[in-house]
Amino acid sequence: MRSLAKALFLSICLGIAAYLAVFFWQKHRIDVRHEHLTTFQWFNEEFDVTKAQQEKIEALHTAYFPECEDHCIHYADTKRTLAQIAEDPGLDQTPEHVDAARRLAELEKEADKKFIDFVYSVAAEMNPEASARYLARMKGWLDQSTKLATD
Amino acid sequence: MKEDDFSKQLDHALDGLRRDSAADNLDNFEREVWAEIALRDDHRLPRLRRLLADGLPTISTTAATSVAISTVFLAVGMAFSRANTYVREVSHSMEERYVASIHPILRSESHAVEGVAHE
Repeated sequence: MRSLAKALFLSICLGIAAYLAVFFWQKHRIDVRHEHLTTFQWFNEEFDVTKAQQEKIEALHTAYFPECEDHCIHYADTKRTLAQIAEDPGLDQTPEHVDAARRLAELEKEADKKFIDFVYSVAAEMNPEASARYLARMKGWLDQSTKLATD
Repeated sequence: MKEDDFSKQLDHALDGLRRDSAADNLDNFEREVWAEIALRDDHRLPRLRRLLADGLPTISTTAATSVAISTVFLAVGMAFSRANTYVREVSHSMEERYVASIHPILRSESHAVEGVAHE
């Protein structure tokens, strides 16, 4: 016969020890797996991209990156200019202000268009199921970027 | 006797008895006072300890082992479930990095966040 209190106490201790051991073992395994994973490798694993598809999709990504980077720099510059103008009350609603705001809105629209064109070109190379999943996930991020732009 | 009067008298008697250690010839009231003192001095922790030691029922070794095994299984299940949540978090973070590399606005925001982090 065992005291119920002691049995409960020991069981809880064992449970906590088992929880910590299993969770940290799994966490270590996950961390090691993701540590050296590039975003493109993650993409391949997440969307079950085959070797044959991988080459075409990698070429699409490689071709798109410089264009995306240029657009990113242009967008950041315009946003900074607009912020500087907005800080100066004397420049409020001046042609420079209006022009910078219009240019930023154009860049945001262009960014979304480039993004949509790119993800559709990538999705076209994937399996139908993975393609639908990829597009659905990317749509979520598109909504987020629209929200960021309007903020 | 009213409750307040009783408490006052009790406190008074308590003080008196604490000052006078020779409490051999106690009348009934004083005995009651000592009983009250014993109750008041009895802290919650020793009571709880006594309850755990003596107050709870005993169980068979088989039942105790079953409880321990069930708890371990439950804990392992919870750990795997938490690990699944963690892998989703890591995957979401990878997805965020991937999207930041292909969307100019998100890329710009990501650079801005990195810039703030470096500062």
